[in-house]
Amino acid sequence: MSAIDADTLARTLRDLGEDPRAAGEDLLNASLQRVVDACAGLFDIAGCGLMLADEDGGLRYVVATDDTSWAIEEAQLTTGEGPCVDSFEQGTTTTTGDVAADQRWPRFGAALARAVEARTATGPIGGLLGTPLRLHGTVVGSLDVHHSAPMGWTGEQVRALERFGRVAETILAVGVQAHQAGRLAAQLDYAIGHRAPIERGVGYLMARDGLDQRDAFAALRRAARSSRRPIADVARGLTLTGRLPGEPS
Amino acid sequence: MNGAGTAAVARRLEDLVDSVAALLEVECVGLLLRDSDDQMRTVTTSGAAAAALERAQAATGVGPGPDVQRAGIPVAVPDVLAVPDYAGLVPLVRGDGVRAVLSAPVVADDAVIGNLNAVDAWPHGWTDRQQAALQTFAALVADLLLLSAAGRGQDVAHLTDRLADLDGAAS
Repeated sequence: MSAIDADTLARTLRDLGEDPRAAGEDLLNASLQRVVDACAGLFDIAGCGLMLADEDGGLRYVVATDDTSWAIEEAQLTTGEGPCVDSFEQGTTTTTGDVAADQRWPRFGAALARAVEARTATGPIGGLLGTPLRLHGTVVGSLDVHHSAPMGWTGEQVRALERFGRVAETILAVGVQAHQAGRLAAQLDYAIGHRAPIERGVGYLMARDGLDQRDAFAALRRAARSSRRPIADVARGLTLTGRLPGEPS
Repeated sequence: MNGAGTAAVARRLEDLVDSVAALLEVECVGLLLRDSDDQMRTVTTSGAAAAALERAQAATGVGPGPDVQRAGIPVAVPDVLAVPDYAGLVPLVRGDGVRAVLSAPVVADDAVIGNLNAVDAWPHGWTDRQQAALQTFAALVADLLLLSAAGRGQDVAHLTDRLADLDGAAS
């Protein structure tokens, strides 16, 4: 695995954050756009997007097929909750048949309702599915699809979309192997190197403090932000010392 | 590219054609690419029927794959055994479970560099959605090859040489 220059990574993430749609100049990005377009063409869905891990252990959106998919991803990143966030954090496919009626993610549901009202989401939103994307066994992102109406996900649909996630993983893996794809490859390389310690840190907090996975991840991220340190460093420190920054010895 | 690097690319292509076969719900999928001597070479297949078709097409120069190479557009064949132009294929693939074939061009840098072939063991037509999907997957194959080749300072034809040699050694 190549070393990542901190300035390059920061510039990568800043550029992606400023204008994720303009990051399509490299082949990997164009290929990922083709992946989500293929997903939308192959399955009976309204739209599709793809999010990848960033250096804070969270997600950033990379490509999407339509404005509504962008709005769904934006609402999840803003609120820190939703089916795709859960699929990323828990490493399992997460579905909802009707996001508006789902009580698991109240802030996400409210943010989506605002997006529909403001017309940043240009179509109606019913069922959602997020399935994790892995590289070298580590979850590095999420493939996210939506239906325009409430619906029940069948096992066959879920298995097919999980299988399609393998296609996205293949393209991601080649992009990282090639080391030619610039900023996204750097982001992915970083994510692979840092997700494992983060996952160990989350597991440590779950065992130590009796937290569920989501709360343990949130505690780790809060500690990283308040100490102004990368979340992976905080996670490594936690598993080495048993303490988060600022906790008494 | 060293042997390990080529093997890694080969594994990615295998993963991709396996996924394509599962998603299109077909018996198997095969990939033919043009090598540095301008010869069509089998690079990977997900099943015996696709391998038999690729061998027969390479040997006779006829079939949906060669037609795609010439025309540069997808070719959908409900039953290869019933196409008079493909009569040369029949003795080579009869009994191998090769009937319905859908073939899409793999295009890189505006040139057709190969074809991706979906094969079923029984005759049937192909839906517009299946044809569009295979064409999209063929574009993803091209992306995969371009990413792999560019990352190592190679052209795709020379990468194909190594991939085909690897496939030949494995079979």
